[in-house]
Amino acid sequence: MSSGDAASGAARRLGGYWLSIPALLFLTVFFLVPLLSVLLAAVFDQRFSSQFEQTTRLLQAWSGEQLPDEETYRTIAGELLAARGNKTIANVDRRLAQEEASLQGLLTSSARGLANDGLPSSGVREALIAIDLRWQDTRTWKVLRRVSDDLTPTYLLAALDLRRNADGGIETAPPEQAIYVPILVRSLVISLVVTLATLVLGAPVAFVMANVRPGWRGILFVLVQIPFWTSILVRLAAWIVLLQNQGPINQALMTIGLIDAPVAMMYNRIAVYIAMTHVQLPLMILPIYSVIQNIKTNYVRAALSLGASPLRAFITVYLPLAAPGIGAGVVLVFISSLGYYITPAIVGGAGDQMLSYFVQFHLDKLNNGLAAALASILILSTGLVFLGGRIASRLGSAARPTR
Amino acid sequence: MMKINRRTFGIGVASLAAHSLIPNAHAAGGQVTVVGFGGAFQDAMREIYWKPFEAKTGIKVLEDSWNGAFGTIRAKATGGVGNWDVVQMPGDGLLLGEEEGLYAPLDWKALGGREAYIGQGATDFGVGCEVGCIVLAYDSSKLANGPESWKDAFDLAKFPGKRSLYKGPKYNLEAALYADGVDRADIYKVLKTPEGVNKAFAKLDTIKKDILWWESGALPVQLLASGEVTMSSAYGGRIYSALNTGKPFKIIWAGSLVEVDSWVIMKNGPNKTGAMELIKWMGDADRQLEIAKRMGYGPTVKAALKRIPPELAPSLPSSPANLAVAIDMDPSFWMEREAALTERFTNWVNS
Repeated sequence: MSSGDAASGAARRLGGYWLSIPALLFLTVFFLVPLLSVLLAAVFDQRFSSQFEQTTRLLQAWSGEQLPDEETYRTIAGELLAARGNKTIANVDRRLAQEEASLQGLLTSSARGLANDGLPSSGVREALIAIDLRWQDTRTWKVLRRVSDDLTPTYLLAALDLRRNADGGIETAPPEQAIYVPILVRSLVISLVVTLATLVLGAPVAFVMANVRPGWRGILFVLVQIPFWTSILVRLAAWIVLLQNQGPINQALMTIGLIDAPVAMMYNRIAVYIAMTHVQLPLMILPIYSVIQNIKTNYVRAALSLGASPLRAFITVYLPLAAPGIGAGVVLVFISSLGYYITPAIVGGAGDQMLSYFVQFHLDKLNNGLAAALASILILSTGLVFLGGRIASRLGSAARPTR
Repeated sequence: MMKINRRTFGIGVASLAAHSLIPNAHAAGGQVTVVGFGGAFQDAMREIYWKPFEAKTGIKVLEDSWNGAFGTIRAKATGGVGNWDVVQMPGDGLLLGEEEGLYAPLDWKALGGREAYIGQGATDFGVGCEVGCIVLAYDSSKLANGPESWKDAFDLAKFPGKRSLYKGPKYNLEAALYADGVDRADIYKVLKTPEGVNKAFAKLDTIKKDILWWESGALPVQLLASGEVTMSSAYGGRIYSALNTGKPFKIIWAGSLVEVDSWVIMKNGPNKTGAMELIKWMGDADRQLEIAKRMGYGPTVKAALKRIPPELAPSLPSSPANLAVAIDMDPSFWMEREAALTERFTNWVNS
């Protein structure tokens, strides 16, 4: 082969790469950039420093030993009035309250007080303390100094039920406020149960699909995909009708005398499991099917002819060959379950909401920092699950005897 | 001229094609975007207010809806020209947005002066939309002897089974204190103390396991109709319009929570003139009476109040007999405390 051929081969290969540029651009603009901006919003907050520029400069140089000097009080007073004037003060106040709940309303009420009394020519410190006693506490200033940093761990800590106390040390949130770790655990449990349920229900279906006549296979394909074609809201409405207290399932069970009173199957965890399993089932069946339809029956027959019991042939020959499909289905279902929002929101109760619900909840409240932090935790958990899946499949294939 | 931002980009591209085919379709008056809370009320307003307005003035009325979470308004108000003009706003949101400078000032002279409206419907940045309410309701075909007030909603011995309440601190803290025996006139005085808030949460705690929380105003009607819950708090208008379709629901007026919604004009809205015209149109006494008949919500213009048909009066939250037993909601209380109370409520619901 001449070198010219090799060069033109390489050029042809590169020519192929060019075709992927639109997809890469698309991914960058609509996936990577939003993703990074979410991660950034979880740790970056300029609300204070952009409105209180001078104060920020003075605070960053402040020792923190005793109350700041008169100049700092005068500067913050001036900037409080300016922020009140351009109506940004409520936003900065929210930032402060997110950092330290006990400082809620400090800026708004102080600015209102200053606007009423007028900014004195001297003794601004005394004037501010007269308006609100919190101004004579060094801890207030320490929190302000923390808030003046654009880079903040507050939201990530809050998403992990941790917080910084007034002196800057990290402590766990009181039990009645520590809700996000249990919600993360709940999201993982729901995803795991749904994954197992789809595996138990889906694997036999995939096996049947791979082994029936082509005509039947087509029908099964359509049946499996119907949930995919139906609008999620229609599916959920159908489940509500079926599962409610007066619904056909409860009515039927009561008619045949299995139960005396309706079993609560709606607006609780049972409904979430049922509805999510229904939605996710194709994601389990299709990858398994695509792998096992290529498994040659000869292998199993060979094992049987060599004296293996059917169970042994299944476990040592069939299952390892099917493992990539099962692995793909499990990872796909688990990961996509982890981010579920609308299904638990509609058919679940208050105790069945998953992490995404709270991302939406805090976005609604414009608490973007916490929403971004929760979303980051969700992304991280998804990444870990994916990585775990990869490692498990590596170990699996390494453990398999090679020829 | 439509300003294209990220949000409207898709719509912009789509309408660009349409516009080039039909030049100057809406050149007469442009368009105005009005935003309500969706559902039955928005359907009624579309029919009674917006379609006739469009036909009469040539100003196209675009619609959107929001769920009352004030973050949405803040997000809409930031940046350059927005795409919302007129928004239906509860009392606390009116005060919040006023404090944060999100609304455009009103031309009260063009609206016939403040004295044409009831007091709460005539403020610096808000024009009364309706006198609405949150009530306790039940299905009389399923409960022969129904509840008589919030007290019964908290009485699991007398009324076993699930009950449905709004998923948020608003309405529930008031109802809990009412059920606990606090006089309806003192409810906010008590709620302003930490002990009062603790007392309300403690009362809610007694039925926490038996509460189904609703977020969408349509859910209480479904839950009552299917018998999933024995009783539910609900927007009065939802129950009233279900009554109109023949549902055997009963409304309990004792302790009903009365709330006045206002129309506001977004400061960064694209069409302020159109917005004012639409608000003026919706302040017409005849049209407000139509809405009252359809939704069971009280009018905000005095001219309409004078002409309420006697058979309608008992169904309106604004009628004297109903007001005499109602809780008058305090918008300034919720403006100041909703954020903190919502945080506490969320933690409580999820723990």
